[in-house]
Amino acid sequence: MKLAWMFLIGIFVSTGAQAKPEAPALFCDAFENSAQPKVCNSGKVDCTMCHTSGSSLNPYGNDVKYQASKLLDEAELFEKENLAKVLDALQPLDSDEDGVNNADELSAGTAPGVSQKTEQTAAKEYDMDLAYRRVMSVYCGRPPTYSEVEGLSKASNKKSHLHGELDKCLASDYWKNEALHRLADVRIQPLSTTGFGGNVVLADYRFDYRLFSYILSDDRDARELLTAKYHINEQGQKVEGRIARTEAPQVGQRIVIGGGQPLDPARRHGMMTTQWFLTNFTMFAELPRNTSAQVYRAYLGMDIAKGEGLKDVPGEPRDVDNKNVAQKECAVCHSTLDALSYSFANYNGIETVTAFLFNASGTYVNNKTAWEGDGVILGKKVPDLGAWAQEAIKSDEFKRNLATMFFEQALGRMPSTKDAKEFDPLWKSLPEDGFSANKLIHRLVDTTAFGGI
Amino acid sequence: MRLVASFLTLVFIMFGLVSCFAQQAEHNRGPTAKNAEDPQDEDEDGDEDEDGEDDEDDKSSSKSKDKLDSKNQNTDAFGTDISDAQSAKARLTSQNAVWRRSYAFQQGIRQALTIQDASVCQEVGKFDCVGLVHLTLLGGNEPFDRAQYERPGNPSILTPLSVERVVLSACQKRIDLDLKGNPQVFEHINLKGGSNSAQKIESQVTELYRRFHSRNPTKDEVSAIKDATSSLEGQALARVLCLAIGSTAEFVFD
Repeated sequence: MKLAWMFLIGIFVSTGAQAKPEAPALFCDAFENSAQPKVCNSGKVDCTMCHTSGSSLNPYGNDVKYQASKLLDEAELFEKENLAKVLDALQPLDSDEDGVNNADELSAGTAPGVSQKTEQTAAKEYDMDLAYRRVMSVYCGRPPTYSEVEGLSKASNKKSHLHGELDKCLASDYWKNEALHRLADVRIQPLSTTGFGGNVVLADYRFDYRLFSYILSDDRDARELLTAKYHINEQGQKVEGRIARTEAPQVGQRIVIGGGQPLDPARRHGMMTTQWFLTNFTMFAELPRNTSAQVYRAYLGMDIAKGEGLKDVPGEPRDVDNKNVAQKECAVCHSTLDALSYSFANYNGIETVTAFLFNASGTYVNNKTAWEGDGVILGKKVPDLGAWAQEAIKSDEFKRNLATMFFEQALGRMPSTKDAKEFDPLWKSLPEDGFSANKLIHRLVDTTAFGGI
Repeated sequence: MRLVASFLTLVFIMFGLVSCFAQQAEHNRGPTAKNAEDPQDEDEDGDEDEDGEDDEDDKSSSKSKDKLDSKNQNTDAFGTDISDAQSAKARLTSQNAVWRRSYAFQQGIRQALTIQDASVCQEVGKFDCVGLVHLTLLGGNEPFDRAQYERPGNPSILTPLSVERVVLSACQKRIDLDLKGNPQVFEHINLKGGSNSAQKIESQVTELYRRFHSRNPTKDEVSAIKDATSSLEGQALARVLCLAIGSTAEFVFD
């Protein structure tokens, strides 16, 4: 029986086409002898051209795989001329069966593996009663009562009534200490074992949750997610200076090496320099690639592991820490990633001896490396993490990510192309609204995507 | 293996029951109930139906009818406002329906059944159903111990079972509380057994619709439930009414 399983797994593994990091650029290179489709305007496509998530293929990816299996060995597919042949053969097909063939989809800049038919139907008519029910469930954490629904129907100005109720919800304990915390989970990625009160205490992620929630409530400036120089204590008060650990260091049944917020406030940059963030994502890395990639993913909405947000930096990757990332297959991502990471290089991750004595995890060390000044974000060279943060917060990616975060939180889905008319003004209005999350949510509630059937 | 087979059989039977009930409900017709009080305006002493007198029902009916008429919206042949029901149906058949996830789901039940306990259901009397055991199936995530950093995108095939489990447990909790006297939810029917007039059942159905769905039931909904529960009385009747009304998709999606 075991042998049979191993055999089956062997077949599955050996026939599974493997995703290649160079594929997004190679895809566009394959069109060099024909008209470049609109999807290749930036010189490469996202991994989602062929994949859904991880190594799973979408219908277009499946067709690529099938067509390749008829013509080539798998290894040969990732040669430009061969891929060109395969893609060319797929042009007349309609992989996602949405009535538009692959060639037309690529030219129009839409995804040939994602049916336009199955994309969310744009809501048409705004229904005040529905919007009210959603406001209550999403922002107050409970459905409205019968009396409250009656109250809306009797209100002389229903829209004003709705927004008044929304204001109450956004000031509620539920919104600040539950809903916003759940939005923070994927950005903070806590783990009780290594957090406050755990068995191996690296840092106290409760600071991260409090800071996230504080900045995104009460009309505060959301850009402080990447620029705040302060922290919030358990009483909800702002604390400007260093914060000592509350639990003494210890080694024994429990190991406690972190706690508080020991980083020099001048070196703080909001969520990305808390002790938890730096220890959890950098750990022992010399060049904190994982840390910068997490900021890029969590606050700019681009996941390098999915081939998103790749912006090649000439001369990179230099492979400064000898991780063998300069080879072609790795360089596709590391050209962007390594340059993105240099600005984090002088921040400690997990310190061992010094952490125990001086709570040094997540602190800044002058001249820890020689790379800090080599950082590049979104094509801009930056001297340090402060400048990195400034480039990040003024980008469209930061604004779009904020709006996407609240859109997905409210509606349980990502904005689709059919939402674009309503979605784009949401993030574009952030500067006018002082980057207030509350104002963004008020605008979101007024869209037919939110209140429409 | 045997355990898995038993579990799947149980799931199959439950889905069969639910679908049978839905079909039955769809084909039944009957009179409309309009006499439940607004649960959010409820009098803590609310015991007007405890004596089982129909004249009390009539007073209540007339009071509620005035209230409903004041809405002056779409009404069916029996005068019941159906615009809210139409709106609910439209949103539930739309692709854009929004899943009411674990926290709001549990708060909704607590609110509907006036349950003060933080948890409305515990497995083996110990483990919180919504916050722990059925959390993911109900749309939540637990980041700290389970490292679930994101909530599930869509309900699972087992979500209806979790919904029913939690609603049923909460219903029984409320029934037990109401049986102790001074009923707050099941105030229209005789919880301790004995027959109930059609009017009383209509009042109870309306009460539950207002509590769970913040709207009045349509005549079709009332008659379907009345027909389906005609052989029940006492706690069994209360339990079935509560589960049938509280576990519909309308309570899980906005």
